[in-house]
Amino acid sequence: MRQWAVFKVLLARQWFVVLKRLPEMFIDGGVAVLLQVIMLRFFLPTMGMSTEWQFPLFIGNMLMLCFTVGYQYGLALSHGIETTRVVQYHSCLPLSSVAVVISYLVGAIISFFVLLVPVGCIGGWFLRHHAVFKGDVGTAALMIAVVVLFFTIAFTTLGVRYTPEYFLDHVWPRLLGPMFIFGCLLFTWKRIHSFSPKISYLFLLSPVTYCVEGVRHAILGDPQFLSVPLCIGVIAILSIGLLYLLCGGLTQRIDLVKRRG
Amino acid sequence: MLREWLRARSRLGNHLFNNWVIWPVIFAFANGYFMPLAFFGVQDVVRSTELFVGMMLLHIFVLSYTAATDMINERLESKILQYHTQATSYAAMFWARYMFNVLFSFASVIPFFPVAKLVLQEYLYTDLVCWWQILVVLFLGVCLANAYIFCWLAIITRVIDFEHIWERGIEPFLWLGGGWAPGYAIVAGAGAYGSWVYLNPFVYISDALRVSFLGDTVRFTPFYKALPPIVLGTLFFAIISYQLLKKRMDVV
Repeated sequence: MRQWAVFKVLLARQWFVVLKRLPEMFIDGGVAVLLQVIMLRFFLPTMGMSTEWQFPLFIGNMLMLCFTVGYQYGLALSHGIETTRVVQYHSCLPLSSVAVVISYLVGAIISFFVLLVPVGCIGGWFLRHHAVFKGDVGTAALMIAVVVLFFTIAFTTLGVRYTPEYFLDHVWPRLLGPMFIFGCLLFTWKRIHSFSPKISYLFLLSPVTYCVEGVRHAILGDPQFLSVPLCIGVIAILSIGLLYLLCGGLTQRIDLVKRRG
Repeated sequence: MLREWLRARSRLGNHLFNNWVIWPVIFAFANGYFMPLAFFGVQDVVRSTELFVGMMLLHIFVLSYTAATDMINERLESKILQYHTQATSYAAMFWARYMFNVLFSFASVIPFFPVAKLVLQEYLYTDLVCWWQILVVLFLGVCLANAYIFCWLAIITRVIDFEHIWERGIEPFLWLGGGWAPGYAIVAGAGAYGSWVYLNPFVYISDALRVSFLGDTVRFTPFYKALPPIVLGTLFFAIISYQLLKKRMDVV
């Protein structure tokens, strides 16, 4: 019972932190989405880009926003472990380390959702003219939930496992950068496959490909994108693996020693 | 500056590998080959080059932003900036850091296009390239980007505010500065407000790079016309940041 009471307080704390940061996050997200909408709707078509790519690329840009938000969250978490040590304090509470991790994940998930859903809807509304929506709302919601969960677990794992210096030096250029670039955010997998089938299979190594293609398929209902069950399956397996790394990483990073029983 | 070099030297190997190898290779593949192929449907080497070259602006901003991360911690947390101001002078502290960041960033970006050429081969159009012009633009570009970031360093008062700089302070200048769509495409797409894009000094960096590669002075600002706005922008941001930071640090 005591553990549950402490857990509820941690969740309330996460919710309080999210609420406090929400206006700033909205401004950041709004600026990013506005620029992407302007770029996709007005500027890139004048260079010769077909308007049928506007909405699929906008979905890719929303996941780019996930990268930006997630990277800053992970770096802040890593920095917090080194400086404010709030994570260490929470880990010493009469609560299992798994519960502490879950509370942080819940806070991050709420942050992602309250930012992405409104700005995504607003941006999508501006680009609706050249898109055909044949997707299912329930499937789209499930796919977006799975993607947000994946990004949350991934960036929390990175923030917990690595120091800020390592984060800045290695994480973006050597891990996130290739995942980002080869994640079909700026084009569709089918398009690459039509030009270069062998190289297109390289893109299937990036989990971001499954995230973005799954969301595209779920919202647009176009079979040219990777199937939703395949995407959900791959992302779920990766998320479970990352969760295991996260729990172990927290114990290792803060040198946590807990009394059994 | 020696102190800055000693600080950066411990991470030099990783930094060089990331900026001399990893970033040029992945940018070349994604933005120089796959993205143009997906956008335009056919392998148009000139348009691919036009799209890819603008990505250098993103790379310059990333380098300047990353270099500024250390400095913001030194100003707001460890107070090393304040200590150095006391030990030497404010001017010495400021210009040493600015010049080091500029030179370090410049050294980091020099191999970008040659490595990209090795990766892309004939898919990067270099028939009309003028390499010395590219070097000049890259140097002035890092000067401008660093001066601009230094302004933000002076403005923010909490470390946590630094994370907002990318979306609010950098992305507008980046994407409306020819990072993706060049200046002429922005003018064509934005109607009556299109010409305002040329108030952004960063658009002259992307235009100068594109004209140095493609030699097209009709769609892009000619090289010698692009330089003065970049230099003026650098001077403007450098002076503003110098005065702002001095005031913020309450230097007597």
